[in-house]
Amino acid sequence: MRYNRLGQTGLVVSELCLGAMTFGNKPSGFFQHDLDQAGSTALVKQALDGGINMIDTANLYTAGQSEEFVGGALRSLGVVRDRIVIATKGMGPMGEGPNDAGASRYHLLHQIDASLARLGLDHVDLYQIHGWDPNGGMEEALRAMEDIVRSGRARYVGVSNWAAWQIAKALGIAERRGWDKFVSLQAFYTVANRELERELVPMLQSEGLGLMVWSPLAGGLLSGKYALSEGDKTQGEGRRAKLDFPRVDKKLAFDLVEAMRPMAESRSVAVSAVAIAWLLHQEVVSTVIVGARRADQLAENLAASDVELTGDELARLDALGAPEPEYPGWAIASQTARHGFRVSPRRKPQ
Amino acid sequence: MRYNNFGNTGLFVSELCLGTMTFGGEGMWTAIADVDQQGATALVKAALDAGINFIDTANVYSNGLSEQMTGRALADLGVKRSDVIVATKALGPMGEGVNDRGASRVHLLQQIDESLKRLGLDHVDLYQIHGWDPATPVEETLRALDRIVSSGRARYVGVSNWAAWQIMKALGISERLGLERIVSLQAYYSLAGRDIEREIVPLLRSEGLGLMVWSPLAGGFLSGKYTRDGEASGRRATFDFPPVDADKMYDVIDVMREIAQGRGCTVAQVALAWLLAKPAVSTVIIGAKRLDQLSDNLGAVDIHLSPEDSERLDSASALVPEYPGWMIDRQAVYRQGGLAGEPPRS
Repeated sequence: MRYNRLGQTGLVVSELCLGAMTFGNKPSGFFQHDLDQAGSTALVKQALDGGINMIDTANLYTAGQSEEFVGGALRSLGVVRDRIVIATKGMGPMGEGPNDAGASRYHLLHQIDASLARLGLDHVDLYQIHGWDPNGGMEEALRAMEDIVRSGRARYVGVSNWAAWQIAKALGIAERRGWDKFVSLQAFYTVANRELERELVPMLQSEGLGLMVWSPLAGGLLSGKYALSEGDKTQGEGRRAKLDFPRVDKKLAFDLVEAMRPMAESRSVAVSAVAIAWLLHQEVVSTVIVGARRADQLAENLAASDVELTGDELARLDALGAPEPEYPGWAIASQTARHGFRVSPRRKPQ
Repeated sequence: MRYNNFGNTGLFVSELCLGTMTFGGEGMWTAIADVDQQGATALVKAALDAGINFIDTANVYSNGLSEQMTGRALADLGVKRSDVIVATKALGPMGEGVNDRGASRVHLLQQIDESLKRLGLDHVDLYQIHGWDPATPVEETLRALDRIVSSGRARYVGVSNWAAWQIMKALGISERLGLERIVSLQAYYSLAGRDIEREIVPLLRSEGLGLMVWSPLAGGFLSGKYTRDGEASGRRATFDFPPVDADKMYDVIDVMREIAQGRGCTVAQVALAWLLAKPAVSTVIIGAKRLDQLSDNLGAVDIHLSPEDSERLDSASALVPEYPGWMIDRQAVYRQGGLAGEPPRS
């Protein structure tokens, strides 16, 4: 296991992060859950033994039970608080009321305390706004996050699933007001879906934010367990058969699975380990969130940390998955090339 | 001709803007620019007579010749300075020196004076950074632009061809430092290229920036001259820009042709009318080499697409959803319950 700085912070996180979305066994509407406390604890132990030092959860995962099981696992394993980086999120719906969701000051300050109570902790290390709130005032949300840090309930603040301009706006407000800035983005990125590279990756690199990747296997599609059948329907036993999420070009995904299969076989690892390893080779990535229900799945994913892809292999996967150029990406690229900003290649601007 | 508020400014601009990239013709510009002074003056006159009050040029167009001819046309026609809004730009190379390009303070403060001299004006109304300069800190560029405004050489500042996060970063810096803020973006937008709807249009609407559209006919692709079966002799034959997904676009052109036939207008007018109906659009820049092309484009202001026509064009040309767009839409549902007013903006 290698470790990366989370963006420009002094915090160092393992390049794989345990995602706790699978923890829990009560119905929560998102997908089927059947992992009890003991099973969750076993996965946490396996992850920590593998060198993982970061766990990511959210208040709405299994309606709070994921946070409870993470906390229960840490206690029963006797994990020392300064050996683990705990991240959670608020914003998603936690009830039926009009203020039971969103990034209002009202909701976030309630939810951080509720999350800490479920986790059994006095602080989390990273508190993230789970997505864009179309009703909320951004300044209000950022001030609430600032108060959460100042009051000691979180060490850093981050965001998930925002557009690049939204994050840039938040960074500008925080700079102007002297507040803590978002240190990380949690976003969907996989070798089979690189839409993130249009606006978000250049912004993250310019502004020094860390990237936590969710759904590195495109909802299981790159696990190698699925086959493409007629009518673009996926056949298989896993999660994808029930929940067709996140959006991905399935033809491309299966082409990539076929390209990765020999790379996996020559190393005696699963296709999923190669897919995750591709992400680990991307400079912008701080950590890749891996979720699992069973020990063998987690072991397959942990193996990714030891996979070194060759330049040729990376080039092959890069070429297959490159997104079609769009405006303004192609205009910026061609103007930069045409105008030939005469900077020494040794000192290339960002 | 209708007039739109230019973003959040107090300025009103005609919904069509005359683009002068066709004026001149030098060096790499000969393929797209061959209009002489007499022709340029005639085009400016026709545009102003039709109600256009907005002219866009750039220092790089025909290496300065476009600005010169624009200024000369305004002088020859005796156009009152307060009757026309003149926009120009800087960033592209104006010489061989290492500092003859870019958005540095050195280059911008020199170029604004050069542009004013060529135009024969003491100020322009909008001064735009022509693209992203990876080598210059945004703060330096914004301070230079602020100085250009406070010294009276420009009334407003804008950018062209920047990414949404770059514009947003600039707005944050201006807010923090109390500098003039960017009021507009000039960007490529057409039925053949709706990419800006992903990040840029939501940003413009949220932050109140105006949008000037360039290449509304996708470099002539939507002029009606290009069909699935035939080779056309227009500009794209020699200068294939901007990039177009031709297979998808021929289907869109089929729809456009049907609508055009039903209304007795041209395919190009349908393309322009579709843009004119978009709330984010402040003005659509039209360039022409000949008066008949210009008058065809000007006719677009009288085309009002029905909701059904707009819907057909929208769905034929729709973008495939991408991350984070689809995720933002999905999570917006979290807050749709319990609100009596309008549904939340995504």
